[in-house]
Amino acid sequence: MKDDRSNLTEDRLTDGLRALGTADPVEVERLRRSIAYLPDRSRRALPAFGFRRSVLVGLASLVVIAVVAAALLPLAVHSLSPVSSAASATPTSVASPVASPSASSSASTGATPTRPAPTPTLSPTATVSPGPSPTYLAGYVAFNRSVVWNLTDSGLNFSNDDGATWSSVKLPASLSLRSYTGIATPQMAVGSDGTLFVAFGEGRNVRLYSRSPSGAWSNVLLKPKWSSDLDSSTVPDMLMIQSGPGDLVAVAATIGIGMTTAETRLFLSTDDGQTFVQHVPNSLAFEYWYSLAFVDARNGVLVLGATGSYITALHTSDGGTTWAASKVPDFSATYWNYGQATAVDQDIVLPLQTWDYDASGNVENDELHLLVSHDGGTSFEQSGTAVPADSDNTATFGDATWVVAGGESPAIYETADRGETWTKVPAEVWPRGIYSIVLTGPESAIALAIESGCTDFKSGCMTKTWLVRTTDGGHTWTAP
Amino acid sequence: MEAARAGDRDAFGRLVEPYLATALGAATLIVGEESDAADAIQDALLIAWQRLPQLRDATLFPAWFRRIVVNSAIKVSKRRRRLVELDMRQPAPADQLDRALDLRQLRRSLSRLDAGDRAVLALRYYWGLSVADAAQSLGLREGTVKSRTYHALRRLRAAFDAEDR
Repeated sequence: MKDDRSNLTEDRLTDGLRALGTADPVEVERLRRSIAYLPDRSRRALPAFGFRRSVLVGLASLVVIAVVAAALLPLAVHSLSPVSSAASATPTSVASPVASPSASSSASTGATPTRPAPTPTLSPTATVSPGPSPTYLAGYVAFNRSVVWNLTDSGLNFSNDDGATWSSVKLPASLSLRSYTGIATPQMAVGSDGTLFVAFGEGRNVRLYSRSPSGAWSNVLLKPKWSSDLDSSTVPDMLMIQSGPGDLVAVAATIGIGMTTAETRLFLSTDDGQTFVQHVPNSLAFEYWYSLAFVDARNGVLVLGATGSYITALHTSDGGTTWAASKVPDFSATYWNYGQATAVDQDIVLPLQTWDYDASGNVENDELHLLVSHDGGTSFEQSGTAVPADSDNTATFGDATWVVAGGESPAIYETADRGETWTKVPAEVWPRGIYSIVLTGPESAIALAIESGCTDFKSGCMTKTWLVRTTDGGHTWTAP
Repeated sequence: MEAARAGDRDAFGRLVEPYLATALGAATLIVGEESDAADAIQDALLIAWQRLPQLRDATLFPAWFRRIVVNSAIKVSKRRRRLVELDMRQPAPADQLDRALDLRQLRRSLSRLDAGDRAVLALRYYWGLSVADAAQSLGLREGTVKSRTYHALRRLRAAFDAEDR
């Protein structure tokens, strides 16, 4: 094919494509190693439709879903000191090897990298952390299928190998972690294209930083329109980020938790966090937002709760200004709780935990139901059958959902068909203490696990947080 | 091949290893970003592993795997509405500055095409496949591949030349 008028000859094109398509040997090796963890064919006795749908739907969230651990992390974060002190005794702690922002720049000039730079999308401004690999984590964690981010008060680090090795990332000059001392804990999320979002409280506002896959930082100041009768010294207590589907980014800030004047403001972006529209929800006198799941820029579900009232599911069809209760099936149980609402393609999956108490006050009839909405959250119907799980710790990927149950008979319950059939993976083969889990495929997951305890009454106490991963449907787990 | 078909992962690894680097490179060209490309290749590996028993003729494996890779990359790419420019791997030495700028221009031009265009260009000019082989990889008729290549190339050249101005 000739086009003499163009400067792009076929030779130039071929040469250029081959140069641009030169694969990173580290990534190739990673892929080669992943072959050993391919799921057993016989275990995946899924009908062709189920598998195809899992793959197709799953691709929507393959690279998606961030675990925003901070909402559940106060425990871990506030126990930073014991972790640090315990960790300082072990060379594998994240506390000492992770370089501070200032230290990282010196590391870049003084330290010899111990391994090739990870995938180029993450490494342009990164330096390899000196010292031994960390095992335990402190601070905040967010991850998608290929990268784990960890934000501590000494810096921002990422790992491409499930936490075995970490590299530090240069923070933008305007971002000083120590300057963010507000009540609200930072929140992180990873976008579908790998963009990292980090939200901090800044006075009464929210500063949202984003780091593109190429390593470029940008930030935007979100100014919630709080009611004028709020005390001017009141600052946001809680932040939330939902990234995806597509270029949708939702940021919610709540102020005044614990007060009757508590209020929440919602910011929605449809251009991957570059610009936001603020929504002032009508008559939502609730204290906290538990989870958000938008299927598009207008339709979404909000799970929220307040002191003295049950958790509630609401839906919006105008991007978050007006909210109304979602229609959910009637259940005979007296008590219920919602889990993490998740947008899957155009559906929303909402786990519902139900239970009762017997005459002696013991919990009975624990069940976990999957509710699914096909209309953007206006109504939900039960999908499949319930499992006897005392947990709302769930993760969804396409048609697959896992339920991590604790209590007296800890187990993971898996379904590959939205709850029609369930498989129970017994507790002996997975690490206890999983409190935040994300499915990265129909049969693979990454999770945060916490181990805590004391050797004596109120002494010798420690809390350890670490990453675990499974690629065989939860049967075996690896830890860095 | 027989061992891999029977469920031997090591054998599957040996079977697929010679094609991994090229597959990742091609997926990067199609998807636009290597970490997403790696996701596409992992999907492709899973699909190939699952469906290998259905492949009767071992000699068809390279083309068959290539087709799975291209499809996975296009699917990943289509899920992402925003195209991301391909990353430059490393800063170029001064004596290669012209080439680096050239690649940057090509990379930016590619990012303006859709995944289908990039897939056909990757098959023809990165993999160096004939029209017939590219057609087999895309599941298209040869005539369709010819016309797609023509139009993709025209769009790419227009974008490339526009960068010159």
